[in-house]
Amino acid sequence: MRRLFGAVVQGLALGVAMVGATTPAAYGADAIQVKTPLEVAARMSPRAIRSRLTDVVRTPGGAIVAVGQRGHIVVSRDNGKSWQQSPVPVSSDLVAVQFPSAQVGWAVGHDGVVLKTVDGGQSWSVMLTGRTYGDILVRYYEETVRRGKTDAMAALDQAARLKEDGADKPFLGVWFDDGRRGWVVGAFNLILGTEDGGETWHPWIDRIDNDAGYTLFDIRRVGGELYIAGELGLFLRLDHDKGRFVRVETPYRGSYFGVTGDDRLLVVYGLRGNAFASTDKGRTWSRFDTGLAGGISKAGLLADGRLLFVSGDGEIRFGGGTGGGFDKLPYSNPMSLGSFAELGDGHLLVVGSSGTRDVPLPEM
Amino acid sequence: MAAVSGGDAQIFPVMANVADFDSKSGGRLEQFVFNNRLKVIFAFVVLSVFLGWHASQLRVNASFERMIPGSHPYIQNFLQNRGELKGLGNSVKVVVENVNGDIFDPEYMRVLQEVHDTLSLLPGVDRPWLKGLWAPVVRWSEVTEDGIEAAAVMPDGFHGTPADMQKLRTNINRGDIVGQLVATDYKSSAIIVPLLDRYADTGKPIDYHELSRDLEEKVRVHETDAVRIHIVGFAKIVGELIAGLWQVMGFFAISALIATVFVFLYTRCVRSTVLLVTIATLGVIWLLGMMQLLGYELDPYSILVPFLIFAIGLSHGAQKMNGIMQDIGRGTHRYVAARYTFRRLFMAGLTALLANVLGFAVLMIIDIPVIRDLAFATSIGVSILILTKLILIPVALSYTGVGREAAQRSVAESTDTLKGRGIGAGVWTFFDSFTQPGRALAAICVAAVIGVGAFVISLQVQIGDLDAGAPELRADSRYNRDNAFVTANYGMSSDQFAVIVKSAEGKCDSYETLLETGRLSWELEHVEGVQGITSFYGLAVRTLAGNNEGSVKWASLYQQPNAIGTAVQRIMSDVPGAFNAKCSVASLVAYLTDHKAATLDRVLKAVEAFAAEHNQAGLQFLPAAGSAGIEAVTNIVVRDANSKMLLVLYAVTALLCYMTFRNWRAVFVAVVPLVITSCLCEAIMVWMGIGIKVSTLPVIALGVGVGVDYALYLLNVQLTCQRAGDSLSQAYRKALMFTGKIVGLVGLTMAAAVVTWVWSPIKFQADMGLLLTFMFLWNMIGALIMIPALSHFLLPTLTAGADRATRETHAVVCQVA
Repeated sequence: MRRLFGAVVQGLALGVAMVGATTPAAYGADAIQVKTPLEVAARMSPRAIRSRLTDVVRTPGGAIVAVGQRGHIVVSRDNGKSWQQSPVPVSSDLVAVQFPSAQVGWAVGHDGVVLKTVDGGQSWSVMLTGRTYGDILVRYYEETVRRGKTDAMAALDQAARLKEDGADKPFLGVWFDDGRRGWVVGAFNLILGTEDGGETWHPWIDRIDNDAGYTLFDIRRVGGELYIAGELGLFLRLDHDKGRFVRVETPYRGSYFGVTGDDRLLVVYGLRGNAFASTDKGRTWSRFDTGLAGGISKAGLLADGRLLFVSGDGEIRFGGGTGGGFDKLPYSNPMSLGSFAELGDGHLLVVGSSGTRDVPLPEM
Repeated sequence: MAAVSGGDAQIFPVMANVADFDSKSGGRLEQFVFNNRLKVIFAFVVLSVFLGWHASQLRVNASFERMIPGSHPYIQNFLQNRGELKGLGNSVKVVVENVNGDIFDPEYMRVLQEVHDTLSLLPGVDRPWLKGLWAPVVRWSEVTEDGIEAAAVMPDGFHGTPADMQKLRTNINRGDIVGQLVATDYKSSAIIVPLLDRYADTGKPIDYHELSRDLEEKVRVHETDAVRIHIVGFAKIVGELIAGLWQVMGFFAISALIATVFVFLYTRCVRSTVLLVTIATLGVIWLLGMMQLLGYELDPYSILVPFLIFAIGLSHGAQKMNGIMQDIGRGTHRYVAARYTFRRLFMAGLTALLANVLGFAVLMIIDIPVIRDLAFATSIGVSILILTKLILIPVALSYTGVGREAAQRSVAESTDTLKGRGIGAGVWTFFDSFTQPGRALAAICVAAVIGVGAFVISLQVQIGDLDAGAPELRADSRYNRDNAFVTANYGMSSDQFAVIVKSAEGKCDSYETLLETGRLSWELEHVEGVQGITSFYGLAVRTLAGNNEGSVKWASLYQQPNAIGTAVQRIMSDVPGAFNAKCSVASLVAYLTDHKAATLDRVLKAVEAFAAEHNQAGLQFLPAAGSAGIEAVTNIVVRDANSKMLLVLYAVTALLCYMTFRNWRAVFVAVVPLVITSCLCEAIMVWMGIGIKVSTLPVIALGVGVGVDYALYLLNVQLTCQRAGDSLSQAYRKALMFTGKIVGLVGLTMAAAVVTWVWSPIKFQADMGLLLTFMFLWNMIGALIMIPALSHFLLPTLTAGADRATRETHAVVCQVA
């Protein structure tokens, strides 16, 4: 009896021990095989609008389009009340979005990803990635050097280095004037332009006053001029005559994260709450007292002319325009903020590390 | 007296004079024991002294390792990597709260400093890594045009002036420590106290009980009317458990007292009560001594065993006492009476006790050390009872005898009972009435309804713990109230499910490892019940953005080894323990909204699915660590064990019954009430909100074990008498009189004793007490009612057995009538 019982017990114990056994693995020096974000499509997720979103725009068609981590692109056609996630063929972190028209839009981000939509943001196709821009750069400058332009040698070196590094450089800013003509800018002087809506790309790394190879954070047309804001006080304007981006002197040596404004006012902003205004296309500047301590992620003019800043440490400030103080705009569940869009109904939509917040704008 | 039949009187004649007794009569064992009474007593005394000394050396401890299914592969993952995962935290969190205001209060800051200084001097604390507002290692950093500026959060030369406070407030915000070291409402701040594995001076393992006491006596004393102190952490739970154990021992004393009172009320004899209690206590001392000799410690589970042994011992002793009293009451000399009793009950008692041993031994199939220990210790304890109850009690009684009055009352009562007179007669007539057709049918119908209803409800029984906080302790315990405060004010829940991320050496911070960790993190964020996630990936993304001048556009894991390397350097100093020294193990922690079995199951399934798809040589995601992770695995083992245990338990029980009764119908009669009890027990668990867990498994097994005991006692007598030609009613009435009274006594005694566990500060003990009380009572009632009712249909008549064994047994058990 006892022996029989013991055997039953042992048999059962063995059964327990075998449940969910994992195979032992060798932790050798084998290179591990992992799909890169370029090889994995973005997951359709109800959490997309509650996780990190870095940029948002209101398209000329009135839709709100936000982009964020893991290839998330979400679109709202009812002022942020409801959102639809768009399928995206890559799962790279996206950081900037721009719509030259109601239908055509661009989104850029990490792993050298450039995406384009022609249906107002519902579907997106890959126009460039970190896998392809290296070849484009090298081929372009090899061709240039072959045509006898020896001053392109330095650009060729840079291009070869960028290609060698692989798909590790992000595009951080994008600007398109229309459906055909536009630029994408990014880390370490990465800049390409297109004249045919992204079918072919031309490197601009030899047509920019950025020999030190600083990072380009933002590109935007303000008051008819195209500007680039970048690392360590780098601020550039496209000189149409010279066909290159030339330096514009500013009073600050810290990094600029962006540029904004209208026909009368040019604003450049960046690290530690620094923001500067110019009314003469960058010849003279005055400093805003934004009251912000953290880096300004995004600034922009509201429809009523007020200037609004959002910061990486989670503050919203707004003010009258040139000079004067800026008031703090409180909102619930603060988060690290990336960008904002003005909704049609007097509300503000801010996006950041944990999704979106709808913030009522105070009357003027 | 007239009822004594001639045949029985021949076997057990009334014998007032010892000289008339033939000491060569009876079995060989009986002759050996009773003809060497003094030597036997001496041997027991020597053994008692020896084991008693060892019992006094028994250690009391609470080991978490023994409460988890250590051989499960997932737990193996945890045990193998535990040394590498310091960040998973053997630390204690001390939260100091300002009741009347916020932390920017000079008086508050002064108390906080005192607490901080006290903590830094406690033995076992890893002093350099103590984190709190007063710790120099807690720093803020800020991106500037020239790089990163950093300093301690506590301003230099802080004196509590308004200017100092303003500076502190700024530094706290720059330090990004709100939600970790400072509550989201700024009304309290935390000190995180990392613990060493061993004392720095002696090299001995940390004594959690002592540490927990230090925290109470040296740290908690800083509490004032305005400042409250909350302490949470693994070490504190262990400390509370050990403290609870000592308290529980007090309850056991009360339980023993209650049991003693019951026995006294039953026997009405001081002499025999003292004897029974003394010998039952002796059994416990032997058990404790044996446990110490075998290298066991008393833990929150095995602490129940001594008490159980005491209760079982007391009841079995009462059984012996019953027989002896009847004989003495009829005028037999105590020595002869003792030998008669030995002769009558040795085999029956042995069978019942062996049944108990087997019932407990079945628990060893459960792959959780504490349950195995419990099963083993109980088996030993019951085996000891065979010696103390079956041998020592009759021998001791042969010297002491019992009070004459009590003995005569006992005889009168049983005669009355059989004839339907006397005090208890109503009760026995009531139980006997279930042998009649109408009552039998009614009882079976009611039982069927209850059984089916209970079965339907029992399908909803949950696995695991259902209340918030540390499941080992009560929801309203000091610890769990502290825990609730910390959870409410510091964002992160205490239900942590950790996944071990194992890579090749030096590869824990590779792009590929971090990328995959991030993917698992994103996967788990989708699982219902996951509140938030911390991982090396998350730290890397945040640090990379920080290193890129805090630009939100750089908050991404990007494939630049240099950038990642720089970020990892910072993580190493800011978050010590994020990965191990060889950089081959890191962890991902999911913070859960609760630790309900369904939640844990979902998370574990998600991790398994991810691992199945992504694990490869060189990068593995291994469950499970953290309180919730370990509970998830324990639940799997428990669920598995529950069905397996019941299956084996019932198979063994049925077999045992068959071996005793040699009649399958009788086996059915014995087992059906047990099945109903098992179903009812689970239904009650549903109703009381108790899940099936490590602590309730033994209860269910115990219930069946004790229940079958009752059935064996009752049916044995009934069947024998039936086989001798008695009608069912006659036979059952004899069974009631002979063993039924003791079934009642056992049931009531055990129930009254275990019910005190309900007041235990350790929650699972309270749950066990509640369920055991129910099991003991219900098994008793079930056996007394269901056995006659089922017998009416299944065992109406039995052909008289002609073999010698049957005749002898019949003579033994029926002669008293």
